[in-house]
Amino acid sequence: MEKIWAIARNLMVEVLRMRILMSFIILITAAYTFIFAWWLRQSRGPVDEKVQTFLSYSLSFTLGFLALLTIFIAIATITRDIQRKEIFTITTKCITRGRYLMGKLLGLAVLNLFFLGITVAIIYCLATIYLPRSEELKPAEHERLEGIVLTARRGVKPQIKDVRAEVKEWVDAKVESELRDRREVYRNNPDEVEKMRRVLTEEKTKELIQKQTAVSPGSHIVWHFRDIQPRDRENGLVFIRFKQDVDINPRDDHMENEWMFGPEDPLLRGGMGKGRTRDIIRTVHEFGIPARVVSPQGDLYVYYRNPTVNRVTAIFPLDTGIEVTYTVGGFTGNFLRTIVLMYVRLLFLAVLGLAAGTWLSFPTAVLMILVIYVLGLCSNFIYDAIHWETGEVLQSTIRIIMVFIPNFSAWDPVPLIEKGRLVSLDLGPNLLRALDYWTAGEKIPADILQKLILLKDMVLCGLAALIGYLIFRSRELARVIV
Amino acid sequence: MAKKQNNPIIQSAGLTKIFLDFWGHQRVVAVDNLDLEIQQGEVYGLLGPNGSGKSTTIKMLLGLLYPTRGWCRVLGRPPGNVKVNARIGYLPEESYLYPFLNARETLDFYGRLFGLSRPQRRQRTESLLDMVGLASVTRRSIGEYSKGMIRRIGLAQALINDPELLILDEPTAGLDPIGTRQIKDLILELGRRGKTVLLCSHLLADVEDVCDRICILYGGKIQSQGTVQEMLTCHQRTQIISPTLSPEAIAKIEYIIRAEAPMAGDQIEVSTPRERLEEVFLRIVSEAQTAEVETSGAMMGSGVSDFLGASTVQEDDSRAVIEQLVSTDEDYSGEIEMQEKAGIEAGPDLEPVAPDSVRQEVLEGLVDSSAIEPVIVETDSSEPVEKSLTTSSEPEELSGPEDESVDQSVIDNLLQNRKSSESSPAEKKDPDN
Repeated sequence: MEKIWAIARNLMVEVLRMRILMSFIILITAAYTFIFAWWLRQSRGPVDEKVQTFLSYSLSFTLGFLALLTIFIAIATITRDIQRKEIFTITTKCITRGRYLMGKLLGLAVLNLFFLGITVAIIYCLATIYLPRSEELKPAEHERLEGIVLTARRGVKPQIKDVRAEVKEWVDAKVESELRDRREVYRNNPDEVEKMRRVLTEEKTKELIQKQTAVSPGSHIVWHFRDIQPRDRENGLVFIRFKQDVDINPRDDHMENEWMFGPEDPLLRGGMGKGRTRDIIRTVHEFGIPARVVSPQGDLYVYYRNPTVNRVTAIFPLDTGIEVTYTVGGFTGNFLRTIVLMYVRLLFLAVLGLAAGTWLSFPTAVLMILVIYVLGLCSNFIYDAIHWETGEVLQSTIRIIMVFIPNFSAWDPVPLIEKGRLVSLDLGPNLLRALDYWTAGEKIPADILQKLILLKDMVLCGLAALIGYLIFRSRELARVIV
Repeated sequence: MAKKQNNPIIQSAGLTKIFLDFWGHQRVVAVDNLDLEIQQGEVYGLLGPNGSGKSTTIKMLLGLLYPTRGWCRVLGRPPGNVKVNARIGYLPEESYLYPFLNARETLDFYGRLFGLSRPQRRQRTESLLDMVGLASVTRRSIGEYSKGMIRRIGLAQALINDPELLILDEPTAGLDPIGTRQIKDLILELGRRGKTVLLCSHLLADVEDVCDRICILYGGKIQSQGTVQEMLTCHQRTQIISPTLSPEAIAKIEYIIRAEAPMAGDQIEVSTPRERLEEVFLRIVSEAQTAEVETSGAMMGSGVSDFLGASTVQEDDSRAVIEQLVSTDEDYSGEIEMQEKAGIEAGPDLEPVAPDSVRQEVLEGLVDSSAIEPVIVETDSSEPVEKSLTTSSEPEELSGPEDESVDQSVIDNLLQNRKSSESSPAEKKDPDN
């Protein structure tokens, strides 16, 4: 450990003695956050939005800046040692190449902890002390700030009915009927039959899912939310967060909405809470209901009725349509978890950078890791985009490539903390849940898979580290190509 | 110290390194079928012009390059082994140190890599800094050092672990004459203390002064190999060194020589020797230091660090043990040799001179020796003469024909001088010869 620490310490000394780099870091991070907070404080608007904006931009900027810094330092520290041949005097000493790499990683880990610690401490103070004190807050504003931003809330989406069996039954019947009617056409074209089956399956699935999200005038829908565990069941609140779309725009862009809530289906046992709201469409709305309406097992049923007065169909999209949120912790703990996830990302990049530096030159390694980083940040977008206008071969190729790219956007904590959402991957529980689904032969829900992506990325990172180590261990450090 | 034979520290057989181009085609044969065997305690020199394969050989011995064919073993194990590295000190051709560290931090860093304890690191760092003459500039970062100063700190890092095997690649490159002289003295001293030194250089004078055996490489192949004595002794010529002689005495000597070697013709040369520039330089710098002239550069070192000795000896009392080992060595004592060289009489009960005072003694000796103004008489004997003045012949054989009218006292004087020079078997290592 002494030897690993010696390498780590040396790297830290090297970076901290780069005066221009250090000045740059201080200027960029500290000055940026201070100036931005000062500017926000001068501007108009609700304080919760100011804090949200500040958290979003400052944390994203810090993460991005430190990520770039980590990539450059990780690659430079190895490639410069090799290029300037300082590695000759190190690897000929009493230290293995593996320990040398571990020392470099440890150095980067401590440096990142140092830089991240300083910047997020500044951000925390500015977000929780400086900005809220900018003006005299009314109790409602303060409550809003504490309830929406400076908190940690978990979000639960409704259970969507599994339509696969229904779709299959319908498609089989449809295909059989088609084959009966147009036997001659499909007899020698099994590919055409398969294509027809796929198109029908997609269309029917879409239709059935839309049925679960669309509510025509005068009709209703009941959503079932599971596993809601509010911290204060007696006096606390759970929040209904929704965003409506419509098939035809109403005249004033507003919708009348009727709600009912209860631990069991309100239609069977009667709701414990009722209410009517008037809301603007395509905008996120949120209202609180008493936490005691949730059953001890964590079940909550939400009844929604689209009054006939609206005369348009209300649509609640699957991902953003409706969600129940409830407070499970404080902002400080959430902020710390955010830092941990930010730190994990920086460590990932450090490992990738070191691994690339063991066998590539500085510019090539930087280019490669930057491409991986950008692809990782855009991976959700890429997954969504490949459904459009791309052939099957291209889709499959992109999917295969993306398997080997860490999906940074899947576990980006900044969008969560800015909305006051609980930053937690709960890797263990989610893994167990996924195993339950898998052993029961059911499809693993997307939100669980999303949270398990970090595990896949960890495996990828370990693989990259192993490859880098094996190359470095067997590499001729004094090799010249003539 | 007596060299332990049949205890090879470095061995190689058929060692070959071929560098490839980008496409994997074999392009340059850097080392070709090299067979080496370096024994414990030897100072071995790898000589050769640029590109002859010296550094490539060293890099293969250190595991920085892998042989294309053949094998090599260092301290009984394959190169690159961590346990082997713990016993090796390596000074690369250009030091390759971190420029942002200062001298003390550099040595501390390398000490940590060897797992040395904090007190050990501190003690050795101070000792080595003192030894290489950088004790006064430890706060400056290495990036601000001159090339020679970097070389000195590079040497110090190579010695931090008190290595059994010291591999020095062009150790005197970029050094001033003081540093060069100091490194040569250090190598000699380490050799006397039982260390094995592999020295790689194209500066022939350096190798000649310090090595027991040398190997001349060209085109990656061994062209010649043997002891320095074997390779450099010129058996066809004799050199006599004496204090200033009168023209009559010189004429008589010349007469005797012509009688002994009638075919010598105009190959007999009598001259007053010039001082070597190195000696003059060292004397002037020594005087400046005595006068305490200020400098921001390296100072003259303080001799060899005490801890550089047998690894089995406790460091605290290693100094006494080392001194004892050195002073009771059967072959010779370095200090005695140096004193004799300088013309200082070495009594039978001479006390061992502390290593850190050796340099000053040598310098003072050099100053004194310049006053002797020796005359060198050099002859070339193209044909073997039975009674020629060879180094291997006994003094009695040198007595000239009695019927010649030669001043016997002159010959006695000459013989007396030869006896004293023969009393030092380490003549080949004398940097002043």
